[in-house]
Amino acid sequence: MTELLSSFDIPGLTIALAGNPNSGKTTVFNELTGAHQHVGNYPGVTVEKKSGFLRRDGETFEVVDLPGTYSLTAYSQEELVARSFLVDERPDVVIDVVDASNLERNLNLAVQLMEMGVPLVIALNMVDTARGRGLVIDEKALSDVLGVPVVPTVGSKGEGIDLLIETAVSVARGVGSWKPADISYGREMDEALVDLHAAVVEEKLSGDRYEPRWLAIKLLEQDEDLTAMVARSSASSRALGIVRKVAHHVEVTLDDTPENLISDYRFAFASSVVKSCLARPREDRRNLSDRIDAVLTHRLGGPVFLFVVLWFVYRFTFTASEWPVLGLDMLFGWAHRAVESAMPAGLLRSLVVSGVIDGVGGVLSFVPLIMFMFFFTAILEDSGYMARMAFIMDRVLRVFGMHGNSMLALIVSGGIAGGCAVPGIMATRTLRDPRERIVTILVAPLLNCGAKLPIYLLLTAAFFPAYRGEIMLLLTLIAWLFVALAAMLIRSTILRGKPSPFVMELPPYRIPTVKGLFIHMWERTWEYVKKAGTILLAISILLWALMTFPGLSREQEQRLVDRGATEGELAQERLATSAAGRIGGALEHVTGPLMGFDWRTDVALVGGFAAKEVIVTTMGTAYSLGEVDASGSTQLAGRLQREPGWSGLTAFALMIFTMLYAPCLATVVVIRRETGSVRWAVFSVVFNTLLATLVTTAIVQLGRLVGLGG
Amino acid sequence: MTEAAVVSLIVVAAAAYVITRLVAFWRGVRRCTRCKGCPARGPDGGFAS
Repeated sequence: MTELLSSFDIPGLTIALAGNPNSGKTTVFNELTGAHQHVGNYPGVTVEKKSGFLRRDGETFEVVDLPGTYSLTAYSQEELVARSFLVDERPDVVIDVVDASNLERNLNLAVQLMEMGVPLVIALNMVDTARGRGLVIDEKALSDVLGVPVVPTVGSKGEGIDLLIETAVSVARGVGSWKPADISYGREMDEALVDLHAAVVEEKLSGDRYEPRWLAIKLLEQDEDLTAMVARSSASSRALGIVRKVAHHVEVTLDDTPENLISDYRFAFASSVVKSCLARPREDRRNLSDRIDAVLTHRLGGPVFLFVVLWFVYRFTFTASEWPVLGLDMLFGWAHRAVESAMPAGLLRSLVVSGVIDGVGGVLSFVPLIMFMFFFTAILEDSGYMARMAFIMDRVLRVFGMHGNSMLALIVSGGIAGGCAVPGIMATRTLRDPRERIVTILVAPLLNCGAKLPIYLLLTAAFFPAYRGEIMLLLTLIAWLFVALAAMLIRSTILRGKPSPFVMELPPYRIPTVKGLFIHMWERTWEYVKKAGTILLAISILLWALMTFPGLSREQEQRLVDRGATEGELAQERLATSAAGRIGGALEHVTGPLMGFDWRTDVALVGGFAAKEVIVTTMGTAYSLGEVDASGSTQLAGRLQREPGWSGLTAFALMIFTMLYAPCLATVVVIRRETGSVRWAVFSVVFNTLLATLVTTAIVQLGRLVGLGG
Repeated sequence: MTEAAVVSLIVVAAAAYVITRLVAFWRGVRRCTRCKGCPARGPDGGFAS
């Protein structure tokens, strides 16, 4: 097996042996090196350094036995020594000796080695003991989900050692660069890591010694050794500023530390890996989270519970926010009338009333509803149930060719109403297969992001007031249905391929803190209000200008007045002759007969490409400018109810069109960046708009056929 | 200042603001792709050893 070496042999490759204490590492080391070992100390510390040589096929390899550790933090000298050896000596391959009978705990170290990006081979040691305890490990599945070779061994009997050497040498020879594994640590940590990673690279903190992502993770974990190193190089480091900010945020919102959160997710990852490849005897029971999961993620009961949770969230959101929304509606109505009576008629008054109050007010009046929705989203997220939602959805969507790791990205994109496709698309970075990643990026914008909410809320309030919660639930289900169908279509045509193996992390359940929930709710609500007061306001003003100019000339207006036109008819005519009116008028020739949309809806939908909330602001302005009957409600929902061309069918069709048509500009830019190609960004715009047109046309035509919508 | 001038000023300011935000967003996005080793480089963008 191994040959004895003379001490003057010059080793070719260096093999480092890592592993937990009592994992049988020393036995494996002895098997590899025989009697030729050298025992000394690591420089500057009293930790024992054992190394030896093995010869195989005429070649000599140095084997270094690292101190037995449970992790690679800087808590103990052993851990620090093991970590420094890996970073400074950069061995050609690392063999992680894992105790097969205690797989979950041992994999924690393996996960940290993967995070470092070291070329790794797992020696699944003591498989005989594991079998004796009734544990059946699928080594192939373990290797597939981790993406590293796994060799079963029994160190004490020398079993599997030859294959282990062969595999280690082959990995060492095949590796060009270290590739750190991207493991998700939950939405907040992942977002912080992206910023921190960029700061580490910008400030050149990692040098040649560390991988930037690994250093970013360690800084986030507040690793004393590395934090001190960074502080020495730059006390005012942007990276350390980010770490402090994240640590404070996590402490305030979750009453915890980033280190604990990362550790939780790391264990959750290891636990999920074990679940996917280990069969246990029945009596080997699990912890509280597992017992709760047995009910909440049950194959049949899980989806039913999820359905009930969503229905409750939507229903309660509408009921609880009814009065505050009404109050804000009245406030904007009062502002509309007050400005109208205080300012003389003219362009400026029109801009303030129709462009600002009726435009942006339409979006702002939904703030209480959005706030409640975000509050519930925060509960789902902070408690850990959102990860379970992803787990349940995965079971359904796997049939349609979606990858399990896509689920979290899809939920962030708006899997439950209120997300955003931009961070959702960025979250697809954890998907390794480029085809699976592109499919997820392409279908994510079909879900109900927070920007689509105002149009849903407006139309359900106007046309389905008794079924608002149910309509929201229906829209959520329809969005997922189209995600599944679109994914299946794309996966079976332009992006064919087998799904890659994956594991889904289920972090332990937590009881959310009240403070944390309110902070998370406020952060998102404030973003919404800020957006309405800045970019949406600016776009609303621009669209007002498009809906006002060039308008009617003095002669044209005089001619209409001479013919006895009323003020309402004049307003309609001014609007129809504006730039937006002409564009909308041209589009109406197509959208009118097919989908029942009038020119104002068309202009709103074109404006919605900038940001989906603009649909509501534009409709607010358009219906305010062209108002025929000024005696009724000044609020958009009331105006739409009075409008002759509108019905429940038109409203439902517009909601479906808004859900499916081209993603907003910000999303398109991110698609282009994340896929690295303009082609996919254009595809997304064209594919989604075609899909929306086809589906909406079918709904409207079918509805008209059965006598709906007048 | 006439009413038309005030309105023109507001509309131009709104247009300038929208353009500034779009450029800032685009540049923010581009900045990420310049960083070697950033996960934005995608699943195959390994790190140089």
